[in-house]
Amino acid sequence: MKKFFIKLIAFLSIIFALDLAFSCLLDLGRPADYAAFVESKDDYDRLEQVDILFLGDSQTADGFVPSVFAEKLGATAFNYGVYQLSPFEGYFLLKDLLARREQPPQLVVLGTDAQMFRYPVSDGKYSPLFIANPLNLLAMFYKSSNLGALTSAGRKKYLFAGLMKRIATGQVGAEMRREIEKVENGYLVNNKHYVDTRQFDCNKDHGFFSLAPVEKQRQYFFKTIAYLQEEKIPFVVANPPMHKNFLAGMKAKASYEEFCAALNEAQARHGVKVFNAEHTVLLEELRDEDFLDGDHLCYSGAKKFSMAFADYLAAAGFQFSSFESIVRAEATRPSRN
Amino acid sequence: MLFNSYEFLVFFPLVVTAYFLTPIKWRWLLLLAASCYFYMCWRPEYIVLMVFPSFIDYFVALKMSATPEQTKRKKYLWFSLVTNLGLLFTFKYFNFFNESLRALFETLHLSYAVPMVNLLLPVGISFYTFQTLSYTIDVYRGVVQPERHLGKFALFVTFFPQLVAGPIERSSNLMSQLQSLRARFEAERITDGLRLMLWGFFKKVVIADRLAATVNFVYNNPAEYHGVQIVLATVFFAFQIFCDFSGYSDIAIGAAKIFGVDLMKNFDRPYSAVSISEFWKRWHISLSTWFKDYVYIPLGGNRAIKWRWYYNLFITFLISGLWHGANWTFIIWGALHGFYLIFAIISRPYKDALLQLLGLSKRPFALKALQVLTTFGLVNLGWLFFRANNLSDALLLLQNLFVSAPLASVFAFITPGALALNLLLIAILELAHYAEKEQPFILSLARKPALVRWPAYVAVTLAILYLSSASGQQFIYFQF
Repeated sequence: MKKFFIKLIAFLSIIFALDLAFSCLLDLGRPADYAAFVESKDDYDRLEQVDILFLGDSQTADGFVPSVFAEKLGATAFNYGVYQLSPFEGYFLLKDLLARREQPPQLVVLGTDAQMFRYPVSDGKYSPLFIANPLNLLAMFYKSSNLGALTSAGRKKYLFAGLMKRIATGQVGAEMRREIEKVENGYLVNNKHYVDTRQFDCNKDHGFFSLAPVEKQRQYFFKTIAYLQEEKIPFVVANPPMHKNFLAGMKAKASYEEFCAALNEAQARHGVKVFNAEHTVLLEELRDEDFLDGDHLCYSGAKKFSMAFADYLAAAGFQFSSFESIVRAEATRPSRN
Repeated sequence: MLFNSYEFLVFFPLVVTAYFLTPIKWRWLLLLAASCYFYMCWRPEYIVLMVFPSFIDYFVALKMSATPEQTKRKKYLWFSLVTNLGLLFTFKYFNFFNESLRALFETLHLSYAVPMVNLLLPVGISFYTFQTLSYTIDVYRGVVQPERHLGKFALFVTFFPQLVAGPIERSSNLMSQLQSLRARFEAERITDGLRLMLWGFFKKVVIADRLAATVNFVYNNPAEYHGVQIVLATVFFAFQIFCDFSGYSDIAIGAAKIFGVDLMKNFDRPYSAVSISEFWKRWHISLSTWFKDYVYIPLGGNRAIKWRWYYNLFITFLISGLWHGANWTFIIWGALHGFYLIFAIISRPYKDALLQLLGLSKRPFALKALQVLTTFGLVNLGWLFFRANNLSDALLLLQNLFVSAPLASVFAFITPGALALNLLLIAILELAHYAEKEQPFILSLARKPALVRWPAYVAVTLAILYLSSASGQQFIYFQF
């Protein structure tokens, strides 16, 4: 029996050591914009006060410019949009972010993505970089049943493609998607715009849009709403804009129908405020150059959209009492391309 | 509770530890409690659906054993059959037959007012129902003695490693092992169990779940795909369902082995079969032998006139199709296999003559390759129906199968990297099968030097952790 356990421990130790080594290797292969993005989230803990917290996936990360809310509303805003964050992961992340501060934000903005109810629950991202409380992480593992979530490299496996590319091409750091000029309160200022107009055709990424509906994502979207209501934290659901061509394609998809049905339910049954519910805000005003691609804004577009959203908040009567002017984490991070 | 869940990773080591710390006399109770918990994690109230027929089967078996009178024994058997199959029918088939009847009545412009019932299909109902049915039939036939210990009988029905997706055990094999449960902590046996579980997890979460992503694109959008795209998705599905189900069986057999219980082999390299008949000796062995023993042979088997023999075969496979699910696609799948077998019998003389003519009978390797490929092709045609979401999808896919599409069109739903990885995984699986002799590949590794063995275990473990699919699919056979 003793020999068996020694062997078992030796085996697990080998796995653990290889995992750590592989995890470090993955970090070397991550895209430069992702590296800047990860580092920018540390700023959240350094801010003394956060009045508005934006939470959502990449569309949120690219869509809300915190400085606009400072200028227009005098509010300290922080953009905690996380690439490919699903409602499932978002629920745990939100709880963690709120637990990290003595004062909750005066407003939480839940950014959406019309495809968000089709993200696989066990997508293996789990953003351990963002979650400080291991108990939250445990709960996430437990509810997602992702074996990869148990290891450091397993949680970073979305970086595999970058690493493989690095190995294949010898390029240091995978290709940058966004060109980051500076970082402000979690927002990565990016002026890059893909000139290829095919980016506005949402049917080109057929695989992504063929994902099956995931009931758990829907459940966790409503769970997040219930949680915020229980905690009496004001919140708004906001749809970041899509390019009009992209939106036209999106509207033909079953995932968009599910998405709209969920938003309608949130509005009708839970009294949730939804901004840009029909995806019509700035639909005609935003130009091609305002988009990074079909469903992500670049800086110019994000500024326009943030202004429209700030106007909406002001009109809705939201007032923010930030006792300190914006603490901008303006650490300009040169890209590592 | 799913094997590929975090809960199971906690649950299983706890149960194993408790098992070896528990006195032999009480181990049945521990396993019974663990099995009930395992099942109740899914939906606690549905445990009643297992407990109720188990009580009936337990008492029916005792009564049958105590009654020498054949008529009475038969009545008891019928009581058990009606109860078990009645529950199975209600929960699994009622809505299907009801809907089919409604459609028929509507076609005939007749009114039909039987409402649908809103019932959730209990996980594994077909598996545990068939397992208990085999017990009562065996007691009726006098093949086995009834179990007098109610708790141990309940454990036979609920034993968690094979409860929800088999292998469907016979009481003659499983009951006797559950009666003693004297296994001591033997490193070799436990390591073998863990090896099998590791291999099962690899097949499930790495191969099956990865392939599922591609298969789902095509089968969930049947109108959009043609020719080679459907062929690729169907071949992927063939390996997906094999890895999904045989992976489950490996985990079940491995987990049971750790408790000192040997479950029956459920798969034996089915895609190396040279005929459909051989395929069924290699695929889901516990179910195919069940149908052979309790349906095909009682119907008369092959000891009948030719037409009756064909009828027996066809009916057996039709029921086997229905067993898999309440959908016409499964029934057609079963019928198709029945037809293959009948056609093989009828065409045997012509086939032999053709092989002679082509000179293939003198080239065993070429003949075998041709037979394996033909069988695989026929099985895949069956899988097309099996996987399709409904009959109209299946027919659309069948129609689109013959519409040509360029080879590169497969990249509409799979990236070149993912395709290469999936093909590599299938190649690894087939190489492992090729290396298998009398026991599963992973167990034969035990005889290799540590320098070969350990890297292999580490590689399989890391593959499970890093290459597991993002979508974490449920086991396909859970729905049956």
